[in-house]
Amino acid sequence: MDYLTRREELILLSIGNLKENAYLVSIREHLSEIMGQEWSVSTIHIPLRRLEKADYITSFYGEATAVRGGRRKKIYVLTEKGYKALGVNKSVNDKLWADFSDFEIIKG
Amino acid sequence: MIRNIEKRTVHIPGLGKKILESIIPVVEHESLLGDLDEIYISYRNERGPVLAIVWLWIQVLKFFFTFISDIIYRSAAMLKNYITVSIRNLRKNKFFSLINVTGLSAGIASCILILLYVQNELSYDSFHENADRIYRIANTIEMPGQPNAEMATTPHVVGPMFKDEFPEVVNYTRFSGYRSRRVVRYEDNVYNEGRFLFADSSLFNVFSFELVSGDERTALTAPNSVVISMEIAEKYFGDEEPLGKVLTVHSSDQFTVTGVIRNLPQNSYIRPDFIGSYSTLGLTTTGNTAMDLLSNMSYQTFCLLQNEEAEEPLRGKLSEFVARNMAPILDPLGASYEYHLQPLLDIHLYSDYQYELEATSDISYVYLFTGIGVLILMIACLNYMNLSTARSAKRAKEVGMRKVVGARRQHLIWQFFGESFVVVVISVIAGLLIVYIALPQFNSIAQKQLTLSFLSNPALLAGTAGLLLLITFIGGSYPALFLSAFRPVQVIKGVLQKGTKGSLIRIVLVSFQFTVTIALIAGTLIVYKQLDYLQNKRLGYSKDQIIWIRLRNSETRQNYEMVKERLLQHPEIIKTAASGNLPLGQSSDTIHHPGGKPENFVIHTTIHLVDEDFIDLYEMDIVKGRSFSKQFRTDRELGAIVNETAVKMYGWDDNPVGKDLEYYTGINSKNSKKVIGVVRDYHFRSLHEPISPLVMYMSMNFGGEDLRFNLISAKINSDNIPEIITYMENLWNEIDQEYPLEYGFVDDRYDSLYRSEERLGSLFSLFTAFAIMIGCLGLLGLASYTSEQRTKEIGIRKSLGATTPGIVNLLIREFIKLVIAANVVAWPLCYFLMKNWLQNFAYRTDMGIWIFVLSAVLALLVGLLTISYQSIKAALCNPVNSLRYE
Repeated sequence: MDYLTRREELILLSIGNLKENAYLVSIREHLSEIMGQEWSVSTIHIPLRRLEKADYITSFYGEATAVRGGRRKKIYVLTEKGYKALGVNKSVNDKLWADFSDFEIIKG
Repeated sequence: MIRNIEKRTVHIPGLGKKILESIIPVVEHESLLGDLDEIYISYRNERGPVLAIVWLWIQVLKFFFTFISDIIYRSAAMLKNYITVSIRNLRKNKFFSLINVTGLSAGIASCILILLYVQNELSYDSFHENADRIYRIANTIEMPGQPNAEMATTPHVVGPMFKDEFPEVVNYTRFSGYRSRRVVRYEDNVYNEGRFLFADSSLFNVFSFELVSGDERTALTAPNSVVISMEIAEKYFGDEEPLGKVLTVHSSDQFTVTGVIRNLPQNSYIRPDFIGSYSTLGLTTTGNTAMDLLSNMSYQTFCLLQNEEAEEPLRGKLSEFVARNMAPILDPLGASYEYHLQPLLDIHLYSDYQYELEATSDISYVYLFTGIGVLILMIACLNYMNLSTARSAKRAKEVGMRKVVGARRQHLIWQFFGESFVVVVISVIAGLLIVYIALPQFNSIAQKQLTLSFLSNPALLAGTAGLLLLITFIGGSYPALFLSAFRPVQVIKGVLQKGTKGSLIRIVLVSFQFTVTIALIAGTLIVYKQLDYLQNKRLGYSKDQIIWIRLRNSETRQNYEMVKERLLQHPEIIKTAASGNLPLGQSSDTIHHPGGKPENFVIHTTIHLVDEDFIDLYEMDIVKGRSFSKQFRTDRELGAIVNETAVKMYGWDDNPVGKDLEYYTGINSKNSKKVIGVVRDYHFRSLHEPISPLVMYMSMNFGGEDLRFNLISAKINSDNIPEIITYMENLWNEIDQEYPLEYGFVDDRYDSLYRSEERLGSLFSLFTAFAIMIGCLGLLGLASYTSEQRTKEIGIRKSLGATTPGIVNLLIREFIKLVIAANVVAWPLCYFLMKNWLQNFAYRTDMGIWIFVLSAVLALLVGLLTISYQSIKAALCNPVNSLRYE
């Protein structure tokens, strides 16, 4: 299994966190909020397209709202493969962090 | 509700929306535009409309870049697919693929060779930094009643005078010609050098000759200094430091090496090995401007102009310069004189004056070869198209299936172009390989030093890439556009099975190929016929079995009679003669005044200085009077023999024998001779030029100096030439310790005159061979296709009683019709072009009809050979095999 890139990981996590309400705008807001910097639309759109193609996420159309000019939202949810990929990422991260002895210095 | 939504749709500005819609896949329109709308609205509410607009446009821009990288990614993926499919197809039809690749690679190879050749021809002298500002001064003298003398050389005063008089001329440099060969010695290294010239010290300011050692300001200032090329430095001095070394020239002149220049490229008009300083020549002026400007015209003058725009004003001033300075001499003679300003860059391709430094080429050859290249390329492309269309029936089902499963027409177009691309890439690689292997051979034919180097030659890279795309496009266009248009229903029903639409086009393509082939064969034959004509034309003298040797020092020249005697002691040497020139080659000339004509009637006449044995040895005919003879003691002083053209031009209608003839030995001094005989016209120049007036003297005085015999011709009666040469060398060592023996064969000298025509002939036949080969390959493919198509027909015919010859005849008949049709176009085309080429020669062969018939027969024969194998195979085939189904 391929490892996720940092951006893909972030996006997958956001989708997981946002539950049933994960679409481009909400993912972008979520990430911007946490990271404190603005993301452009295409920097999220392109990984989304790729993740969907690689079956990490799947999508369905949500309701149309007036604020969107009557267009429907495209809502993303994690697939089993997506969960697995995140799990692998996490365990790799955890292992690496566990052995990282200078952690305190960074914190301090 | 719906109305409400409609009202609010226009959130994103229209243009931005349009752009996004055009670059984003349709399936994503709804969600993505909606997302953008949503964010846009929240931005507008939070930060105001201006920032929101700015933000939106940044997003559009970012999407645009994403879109581009996406396209590249996707087309690469498609290309990969096309390539896979194409390679499968190529493998499936090995025979056709082989024919296609061989034909195309031969075509590409010849195109690349032609490209390199043409590029080299066009690149002459462009490496000089000031190339577009350097002009050579050439000149034309027109005397009444005789051909113009057009010369590349001018008197040595022209350069300095032009620089003084015309502000447009910034600098100048002069070259003496190469003239005769010089013996150069350094310690034990002695060589006979032909490329020794003298040049002004301004050489380095005008031209971009790169000094690797020495100082360019002083290298050519002092008399007796010499600058040599790196090659020469290595030849004479090996690893030693060349600067300051002394070279001995002609056993007495000492030259100090003051500089070494980088070897000059082959595409340089000026390519000396040795450059002596101009001051060595010690040239002086008489003080009489008119005289100076019209005498001693043997130096090439190159002027560096202020800028390119200075050419026109300078040109305008030249006729006034002539009128002002040269009238005192020109007017009494009724002569006119003209300077020509030749751009350096034009010399190699456009100049054809007398006394050029190097043999020049002709722009028409560049056109000719480019034309041949284009034709060959066309034949190769047509082959490819032809074969693809011919097999369209087979591919049609595939096309139908692809369409059924959803391929759009553009996909198929791309697929066929992709296939064509694969074939062409393979062919380009094979073609480059052929060029790489053939280049040394080609170089020796074309007398070039071409290299296949993509790094240093961007034009080659661009040319190859261009060829790649062009052939891919042209070769792939017909199948791509024709096959992709098939309607699946029809194809699968089998309506288009026969590929009937293609057959007319096939006929046209094959006829075109044959037109080109026949024209090229006929062209080659005519070039060779003319060469043969030149070799064998009755020259008016015999040139076979004659060895010439050059007398180098004044002592041997004085004792030429003794040298003749000694040579005759060899049993195989049957005749000897002394002369100042050979029947062909350098000779002197001056103005003559025929007796019995008005004082101002003068004619420029070539002079051959010969002894009493010369006419006999060269077997020239005396048509009136007698030849020189020892019995008439006055012959040496007074005798003159004129040629028939001279008699005509002098206007001597009655018997010329006994007439007086005066020749000018200086501007105002004359000598007088008496005509004793008339010699039949012989060709003392190249056959490009008509015969002009000529006189033969046994002695002559020119500019206060007696001219001496410096050549001995020896007629031999043996094939054992090495033995005779050894004899001559031994003899030579006895009589001349100073110089090595310099000898040659008279017919060699004659051959060298037509070297450029010979080169043309070889190149012509080379490319003709390529064209024929490619044409035949196409034919082979086509023939095998036709017989394959008609297998069933043949089977039925045979079972109904057709004979094998009858079937072969059936298969070949159509082809013969095409060849005959091709002749209709090829003959006039070739006739017209070759007639033009033959105009270059004053004496030319005629283009007999048989040449055209022969070319047609040859083309037919080659074609028949190619297709007969396939046809006979098809005709011999057992009908049981061809008619049985499954």
